[in-house]
Amino acid sequence: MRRVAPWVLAIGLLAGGASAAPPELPAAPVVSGVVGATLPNGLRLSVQEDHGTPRVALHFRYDVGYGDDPDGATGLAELIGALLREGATPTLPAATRSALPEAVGAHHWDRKVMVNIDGTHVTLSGPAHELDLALWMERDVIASLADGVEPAMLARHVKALRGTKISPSWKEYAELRSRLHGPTSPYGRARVWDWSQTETVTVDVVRQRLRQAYGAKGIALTVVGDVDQRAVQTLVASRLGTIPAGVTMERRIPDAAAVASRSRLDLGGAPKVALLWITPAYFAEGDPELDVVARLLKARLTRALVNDRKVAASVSVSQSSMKLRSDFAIIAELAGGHGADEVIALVDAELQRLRAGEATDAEVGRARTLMFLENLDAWDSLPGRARWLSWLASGGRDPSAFTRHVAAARSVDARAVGTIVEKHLPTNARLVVDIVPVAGGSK
Amino acid sequence: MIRASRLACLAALAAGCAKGPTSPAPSPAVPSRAAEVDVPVRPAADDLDRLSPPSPGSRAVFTPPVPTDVRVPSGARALVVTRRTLPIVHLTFRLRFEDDVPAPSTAWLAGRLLSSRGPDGSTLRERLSAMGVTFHGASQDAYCEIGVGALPSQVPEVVDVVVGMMRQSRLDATDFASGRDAEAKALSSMSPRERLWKGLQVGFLPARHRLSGGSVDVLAKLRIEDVQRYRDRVFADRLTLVAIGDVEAGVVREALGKATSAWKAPPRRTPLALGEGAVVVPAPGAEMAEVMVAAPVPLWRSDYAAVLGLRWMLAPANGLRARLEERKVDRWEQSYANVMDRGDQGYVVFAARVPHGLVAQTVQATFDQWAEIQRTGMPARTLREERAELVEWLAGHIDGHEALSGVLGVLLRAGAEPDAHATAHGAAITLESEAVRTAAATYLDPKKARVVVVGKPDEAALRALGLGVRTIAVPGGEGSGS
Repeated sequence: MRRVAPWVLAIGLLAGGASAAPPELPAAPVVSGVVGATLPNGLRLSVQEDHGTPRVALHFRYDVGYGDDPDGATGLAELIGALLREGATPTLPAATRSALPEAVGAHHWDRKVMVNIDGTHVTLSGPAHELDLALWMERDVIASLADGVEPAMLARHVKALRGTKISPSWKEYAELRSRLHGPTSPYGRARVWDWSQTETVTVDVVRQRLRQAYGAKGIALTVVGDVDQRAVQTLVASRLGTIPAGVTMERRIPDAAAVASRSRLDLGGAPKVALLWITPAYFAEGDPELDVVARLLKARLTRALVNDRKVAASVSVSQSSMKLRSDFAIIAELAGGHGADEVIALVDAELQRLRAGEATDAEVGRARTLMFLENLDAWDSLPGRARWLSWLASGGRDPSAFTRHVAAARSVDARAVGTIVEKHLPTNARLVVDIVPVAGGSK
Repeated sequence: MIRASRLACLAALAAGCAKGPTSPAPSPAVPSRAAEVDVPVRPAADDLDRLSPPSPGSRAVFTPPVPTDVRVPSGARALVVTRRTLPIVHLTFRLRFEDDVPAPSTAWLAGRLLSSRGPDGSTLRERLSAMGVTFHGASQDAYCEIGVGALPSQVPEVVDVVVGMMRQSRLDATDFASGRDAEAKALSSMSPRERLWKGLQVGFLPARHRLSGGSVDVLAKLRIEDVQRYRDRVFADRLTLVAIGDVEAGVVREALGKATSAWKAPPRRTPLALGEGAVVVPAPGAEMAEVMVAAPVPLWRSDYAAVLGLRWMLAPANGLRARLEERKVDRWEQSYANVMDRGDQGYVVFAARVPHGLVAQTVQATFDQWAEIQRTGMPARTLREERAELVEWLAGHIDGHEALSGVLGVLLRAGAEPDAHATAHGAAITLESEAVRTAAATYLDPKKARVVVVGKPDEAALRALGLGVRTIAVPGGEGSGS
């Protein structure tokens, strides 16, 4: 060991001491004032009053995503997402819908539609005193969208979807997720970039899908803002209480995790190696703790692989939480002249140190703080909070689950990190994928 | 508030709307458990209800939050909004690079290196990462910005780290070169449209003001000493901070005062002359010219709602289209009207893309519209519509720390009082035509107009309007200042 001059050591201790003491986390915020209701047609409603600004946010979460596409109809959820985005119905064609708010003296609301693996999300925000109009217009979409679907409309949207750019990193992650969860799992279905099946979807299929899977039973609606809770309940019952119930989405629990297998993925881009685990679902025991571990590992592996050993150009670590099952991924881009085995060995060494309880208080504290702050950040705006509450409601959880989720991170220490890594990130139950650059992309 | 031109296809809907609700109001919900209530549902909605959009209700009384103004002896300034709802504080630091600089692009590159690329940004990232806070960096021509989300107990340390880095950081030659090259690469990929826009921006600057002249050629000549020397001349009065969240103003005051205490006192500055008349930025090969006609206005003062009203009256639909037709401007596109800010100086602008030969006529038509507003103020229907828009704009975009921080940052940049936003909101609610007319009479003066043209206008025609004309270099290296 190289001898270190005492004064250097002293400075090191001082410098380390300045940032070594992890900040004490405040108590997790208690979510209060959220009132839930279920309409007879199955629609779940949550309302929270917030009079900080004269605004309101609505979040409709349909419990159907691209992971639920039927066999032979991949891309169906994305196609319906495009129809929802346009929102054209026989009652309100696109041009009328666009002009209506101004015509009645209202404003244009922000309205976004997003489709992910197990949900379709419509987010709206606007002046609180125009809430009834927004509900009226959205009711028209839910109740009448299927009536207006025509072949030319579908062809137009499929053409637009074909033009959608899919980033290489997304494509890579979709391929990895498919291999991890298996092709029969909802989570093994990647967002498509081959729209050939979508092109053959008929009007009848789309109409049937809309009437069944996008009905009231599958909707969790959250309203947050400058509103009166009881007035909103009455209004929602009035506007949305009569939409058809539809059916509850049947989603099969994914198959068991891949066990200690290694495979190769030919993709465009840089050479990488990925280590993947199936982990507990959102809000399940272990999920918030893995959120902390992901942040801790990201810092630790960046230091070890990128800064010190220089065997990797970059490292990403994530716990991607989903409704039924999550996945944990470590992806390292290899530095020139270095191989995947070298990186895997170093990753394993770091994981082993964590299992042995060698995480420092400072790094655990830093990861805990980051997880705490990032979760609170998402809760800050009205649309952000509405999104969270809809997510909780769709999973049948009450709002206090948010508090428990954030609070769970507070109890993570070095020993807990060791236990979590031992339990959820074992060497004998992970998928290793060598991502090999090939001109022209995936093979 | 119904625009006739939009009503044709909505007649049935609007008629339904005018009648008001057509079905009986449902019963209120009755709570059955602590957090779960059963909601009664009325009978199925009838077709009439489906065809009758509801009218908006009445807007609730609202007053935007008034932040606490924090000023410290070094000249740095902060606005603080204390919110106890979540144990988190969002801090937005902004360092403005708006002074005269030794060479084009110096300030711009200094900002870029600090907030995103280069050693300054890397070091800052490392130090903030070590604290476990969330953060982001951004830079524009005139400033660099660091946003941090932190625990309340971390505020003093975050302020110390970020301000310390802004004040003391030094550039490394290798990283400086790589940062400069990266910027040059980004510049070289600008679209023609972006280059034209850049020309408009440059044309707006005072004669000696070169912060926005970013171009590949200019960047290549920039030396590390230029940037370092410039940074040594940026003082704490160019630093602003917005703090929103679970923090007292006193904590921010103490932290900011301490972190900036060693910063040298700012020198007395002579404001740069903004200049009047027309600035022409040659744009070889451009099919049409970009023209921007601007009147200087103060920002966020007591008459700001009326100033914002001026921009509505410069929208083509509110009279300017007729003025353009009267001046034989038969082809124009991509027009817009707005209030722009350049540091603490504002401009009410109208801009459009027109044939090179119709630039002077477009300027004249804009002056005609200015005179019209001075005579008539704002028509009653336009006033009602735009008052509602203005109130919504002022009240509607402060949800969440990011939006509120954006608004408060604008106040700081303009050197406004902390209650300026609330004042403007209150004035918008009661805005009258006379206030708009008075603002027009005060500010819309062709003798003080600033006209920027990117293209090849008829300069003699511009001079005939009483405008002095000068030509400046195009970002990209063509031409030279004159």
